[in-house]
Amino acid sequence: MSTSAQTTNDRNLTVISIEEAAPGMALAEAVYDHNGRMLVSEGAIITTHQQRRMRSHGITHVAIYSAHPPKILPIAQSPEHMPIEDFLKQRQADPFMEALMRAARDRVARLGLLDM
Amino acid sequence: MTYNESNLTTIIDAQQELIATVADATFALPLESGIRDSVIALMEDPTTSLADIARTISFDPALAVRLLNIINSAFYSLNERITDVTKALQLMGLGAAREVAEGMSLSRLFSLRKTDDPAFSARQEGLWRHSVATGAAAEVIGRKAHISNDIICFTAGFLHDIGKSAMLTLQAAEYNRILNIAKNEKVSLFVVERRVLGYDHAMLGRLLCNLWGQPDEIGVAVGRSHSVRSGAVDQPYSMLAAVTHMADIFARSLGVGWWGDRIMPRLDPAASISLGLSPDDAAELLDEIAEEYKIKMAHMVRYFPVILL
Repeated sequence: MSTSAQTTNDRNLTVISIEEAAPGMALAEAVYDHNGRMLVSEGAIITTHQQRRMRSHGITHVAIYSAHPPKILPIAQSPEHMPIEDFLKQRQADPFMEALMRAARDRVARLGLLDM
Repeated sequence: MTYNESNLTTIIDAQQELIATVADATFALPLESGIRDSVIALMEDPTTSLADIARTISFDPALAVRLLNIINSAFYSLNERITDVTKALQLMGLGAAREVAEGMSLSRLFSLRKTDDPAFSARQEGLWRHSVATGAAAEVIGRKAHISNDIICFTAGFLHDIGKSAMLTLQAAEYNRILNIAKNEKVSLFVVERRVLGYDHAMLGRLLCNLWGQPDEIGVAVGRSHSVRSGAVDQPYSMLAAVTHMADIFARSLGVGWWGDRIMPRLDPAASISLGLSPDDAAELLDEIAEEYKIKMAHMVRYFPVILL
């Protein structure tokens, strides 16, 4: 998250990805679709419905007002933790666990660690 | 000492002093300017919706459960059982809910504030992240298996390691030693805890849940998060314990946060079978859990930036 969040200097706003936008946040800038039609006006409070709608119009980022720019650790894993790839090498003779560990290894290889 | 629920009383006797210490510390800890204040601020803000407030409350499971208990108490004499916090807020009114919020906050136990010891802060925050992930996992698994309700499942998952948090806070030196032993011997933390202390964090977590007046099913689920079956014939099987046990495993598979040891817990096959989960469900559940975790964290970042490091 901290990689994609940018705080601009002029106003107290933060650009975040649409996935990070939580219902209840206030939009600092209006959002338009590709044809220039306004989808959501400036100052509107994001609802789950609007979030879905913006996503369906291919909106990837929005600007929100942010009195306290979010500050979180750049990585979700604690420094003293063993690397997740090693952790996921553990084997258990159980069909569910085999499937889960395989899925988890695939996920990490595909998407990396969750970034928050 | 063998661990099962029938010798819990013996352990309680042996650990009276510890429990008293934990209880004192719990209630003496200063309230954070975190969740409780955010909930109260949201309640005062005319532009927020009840759903937003309810969502925020779910991060303080003790508060959520307390509100549900109150709304379902004889005092309100409702015809139906309310399991939804939004509905509870509607019926109760924000004034009454606020009084409850002012009286308690459980998330403070994770001590999410800066301390002079960066290692301690990092561990507490890591443990808290792992707890949010386990709560999210429990919610998703519970939904999939049609168990209980979202809040109860989230709470059981969120609180499953609360005993670790308490040990980390209250027995810092001894717990560091336990962490090192677990690391060097490559064994689970609860194994070392039982050897060194005579009890483990799950048992302590269960006692804390009881102490805080959590519903018994949550205490039982927290207490059995490592061994789903009670070990005593007179104790009924707990589906919520099965959910919590699997949620911990799923949360570790995502790799977020910190949980103290380097071991994936051995899955109790009774858990996956009783919940009706097949190996084919694993990948999809994992993705759903990751999404739910992100939603919960985004919500936290929005409403409680002060408590994140």
